[in-house]
Amino acid sequence: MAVQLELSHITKIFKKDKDLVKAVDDVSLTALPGEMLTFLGPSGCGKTTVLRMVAGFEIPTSGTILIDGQDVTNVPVNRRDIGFVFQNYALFPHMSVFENVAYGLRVKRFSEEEIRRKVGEGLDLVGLGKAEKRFPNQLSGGEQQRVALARVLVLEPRVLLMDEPLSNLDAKLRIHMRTEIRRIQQQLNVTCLYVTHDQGEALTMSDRIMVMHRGRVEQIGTPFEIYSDPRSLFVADFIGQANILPGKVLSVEGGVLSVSMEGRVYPVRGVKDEAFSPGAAVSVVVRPESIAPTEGEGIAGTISTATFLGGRLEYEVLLPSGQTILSFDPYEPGKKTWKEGEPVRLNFDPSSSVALPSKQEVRS
Amino acid sequence: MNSSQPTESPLRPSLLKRDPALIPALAVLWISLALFVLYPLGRLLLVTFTTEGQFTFGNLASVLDNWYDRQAFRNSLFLAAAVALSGTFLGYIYAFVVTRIPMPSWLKWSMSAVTTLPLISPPFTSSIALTLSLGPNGILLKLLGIENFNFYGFWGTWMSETLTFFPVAFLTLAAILAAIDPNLEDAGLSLGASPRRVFRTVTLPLSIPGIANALLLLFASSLADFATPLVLAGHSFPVLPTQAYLQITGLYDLKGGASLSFLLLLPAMTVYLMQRFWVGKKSYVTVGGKTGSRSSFKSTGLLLEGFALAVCFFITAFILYLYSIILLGALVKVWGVDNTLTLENFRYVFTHGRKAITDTLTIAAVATPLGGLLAVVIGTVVQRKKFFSVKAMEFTSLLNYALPGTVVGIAYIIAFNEKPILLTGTMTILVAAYIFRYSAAGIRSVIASLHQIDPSIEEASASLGAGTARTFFRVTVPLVVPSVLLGMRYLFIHCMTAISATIFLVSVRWSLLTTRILECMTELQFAQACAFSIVLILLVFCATAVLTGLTRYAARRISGEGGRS
Ligand SMILES: Nc1ncnc2c1ncn2[C@@H]1O[C@H](COP(=O)(O)OP(=O)(O)O)[C@@H](O)[C@H]1O
Ligand SMILES: [Mg+2]
Repeated sequence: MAVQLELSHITKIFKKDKDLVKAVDDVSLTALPGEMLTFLGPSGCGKTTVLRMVAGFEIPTSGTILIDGQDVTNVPVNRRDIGFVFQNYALFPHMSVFENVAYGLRVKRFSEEEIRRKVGEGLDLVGLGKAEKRFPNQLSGGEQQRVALARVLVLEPRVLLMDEPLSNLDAKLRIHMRTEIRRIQQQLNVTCLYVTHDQGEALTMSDRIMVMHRGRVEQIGTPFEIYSDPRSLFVADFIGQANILPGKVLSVEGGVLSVSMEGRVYPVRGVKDEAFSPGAAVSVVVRPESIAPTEGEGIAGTISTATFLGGRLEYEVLLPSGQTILSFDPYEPGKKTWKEGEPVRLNFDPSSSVALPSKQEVRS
Repeated sequence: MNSSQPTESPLRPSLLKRDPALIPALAVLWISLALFVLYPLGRLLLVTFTTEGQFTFGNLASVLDNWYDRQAFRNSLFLAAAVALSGTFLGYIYAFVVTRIPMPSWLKWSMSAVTTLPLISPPFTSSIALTLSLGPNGILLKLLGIENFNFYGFWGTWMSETLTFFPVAFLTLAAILAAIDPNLEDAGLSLGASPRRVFRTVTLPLSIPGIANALLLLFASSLADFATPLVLAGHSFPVLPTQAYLQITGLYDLKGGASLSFLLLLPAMTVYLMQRFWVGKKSYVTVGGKTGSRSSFKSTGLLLEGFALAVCFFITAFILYLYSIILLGALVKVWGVDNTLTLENFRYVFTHGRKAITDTLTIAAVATPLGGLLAVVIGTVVQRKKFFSVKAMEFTSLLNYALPGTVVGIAYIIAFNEKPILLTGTMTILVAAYIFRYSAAGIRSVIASLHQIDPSIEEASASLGAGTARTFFRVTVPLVVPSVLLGMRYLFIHCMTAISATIFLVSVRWSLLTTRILECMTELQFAQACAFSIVLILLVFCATAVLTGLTRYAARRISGEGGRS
């Protein structure tokens, strides 16, 4: 049975050459049974540290960790019943694939027969049934990754922890492996924490995403919520690409604000759970794919670069205010294109944009 | 918003609770280090600085007042500086030739092989051969028609020590030169610098930390060397280690000997501290890092290369010559007088010297595995366990190695010659002296190899359910076996060839090959001394070959059997 995992008010302070570094700052989260929860954030924001505390490699400075309702904060890693997949795989170089996968089973004193059966099943699950006798250095990166996965899966851990498991693979294999990992995780119905700094990976594989920034939780939500209702400019900017336009609220009606920006007025959806009042300054998040040059009405600007990428054209448009807007325009033969230096008007779909209260820091 | 202080310190004391196997391991390590490293050193200082229970500088002052002892102090420093300079220079030339000049690989290999000869030989070898060549009746003197040449004193000692110790500099520098990223030199060339300029502005500056390290190593080796000056320095050129030895064995003056060895300890400790805290921090190149392919035609200029090659060939030939002298010396009746060939000397070695052979082998066979174990345990604790005393433990475990052998030997007879810990005359004291002095190489190489192994390997083992002990024996130990074997090889060689510390510790019950060689030398039985040396070299060579083979095998296993390693 899949179990629930709870972190409450976890803080971790490292001592680094006499300085104290707050790597993780008051993180609380609950991973539901069988859920795939990804930690997403820029490098150095504390994702690995949270994961290592869940595993038991590090002890939190304060806060508690519950697995299936049990407090495991001070339980050593080898008695936590977790599976950890390392960024560098950490296969034992002096053991064959079989021995690597059998390692944890031998610790648990399974009979030789059972070990043989379970290792076989584990390797079949990851599609490496024939590699038992080989050694880690005879495997490709993707194969090593599968062995590392099989090695923890045969133990049927209560919680599966993965720290950027795909970051050392090439782009194609990465995309293949992420569906594979997701399939196995769902098939085994195991609660999984997955660390990544790749938003594509997070958006495609997760039930929910936790976005971290400087040791803090910025937002926890489903991929759709994170994308369409970013709670902060940091999240908006980190997930996908975003143009952030300053504006001013003229009136509020239901959830929709009339916002004046760049001399025009647009109806824009206000972000969930925030109250807006007329006169407030807002930042409007406009995705590049929902804003495009047009010959009709729109915000005035000048094309500063135009790049053809095959499927689409990317424009950078300089506004009179000095801000540069990024726009992705799907390309079809016969469609009008613009050249550098041409004056242009930008049209966007206000319903796919969202307004956040201003006075927030942007990503550093 | 959350500015409240953490309620607990970042270092929770629960480390020991979570890692219970650590407590007995730490206790055993600290007790043995205290007993065999700190206690003797403390007793030595006590003898140096007390008279009848009172603190005094009197003992030291009486040594410093003595003109002859002051001379010994000055000579020791001067000799060490001279050997450090010449040895490092030679070592750099060798390292440069082997790493930078294109040569057939067999030639490179044989040049490196010749430089290992002095490393595995007993300390008298080059002294004996040089005496037979340049001493009274020396064949080189006869050959060149030189008369009235006094070889004993500074020049003979300097020459012999340079030949004995330059391979250490060679190994250090070759590692550094090989690790310098070839792209840096290529970058220099591509920016328009001439090869010679690249050498001067890129290669040489990058190897400076290595040069500094080699200088310090050689300075320390020469400072501590006891055997060479005993044979070659003579009365006109006293040095500290031999003075201390004579003070104790000749005059039974323990206080004088202790004071002299304290004088020897000062520069030795200075060098050790400089090496640890200064050179250690200044390295630009990471040895063992990945090296790209070295682009082939990059001549540093014919003159420079020609000079380097000539020096190398000359020195290589000279070393080979010295060893053939030893072989020849063992095979003739009386050197320079009756040159008929005979096996008589070897018969002497295997009859009169049999006890020395078996004793030496027994001691080495006991010490080597114990030292290997010590190296793994200390290396792992120091590198992997974040615990407050590990830095001090590392320092202590390498201390005896940093001290000159004479100092350790004198400290041991002072400490273990009376109750409560009466050990003189036993095998235990010899084995302990070797282990706590020469495991240093093993400890260092274990630390270095663990440094290369990502801790996630051990974390993986823990996360798969294994406890500390299982992780140590199933994962850590197999991975460091090659470096442990490397350390054991070093320990074995030194158990067979060392003399400076153990000359104070031998007894009627336990005799050693090296002390037998010394006896032969003092009784002018050169032929027997040569035969002993040859037998010793062969024994060491065989054992080294076995341990090297094992190391290779273990290394191959780790990188995967039959794998593309
Ligand atoms: N063992 C440690 N000692 C000191 N500082 C650490 C340690 N581990 C991580 N940190 C610091 O904590 C911060 C977060 O690191 P990490 O969790 O590895 O980030 P991420 O995985 O998100 O890239 C970084 O600033 C890092 O330097
Ligand atoms: Mg990380």
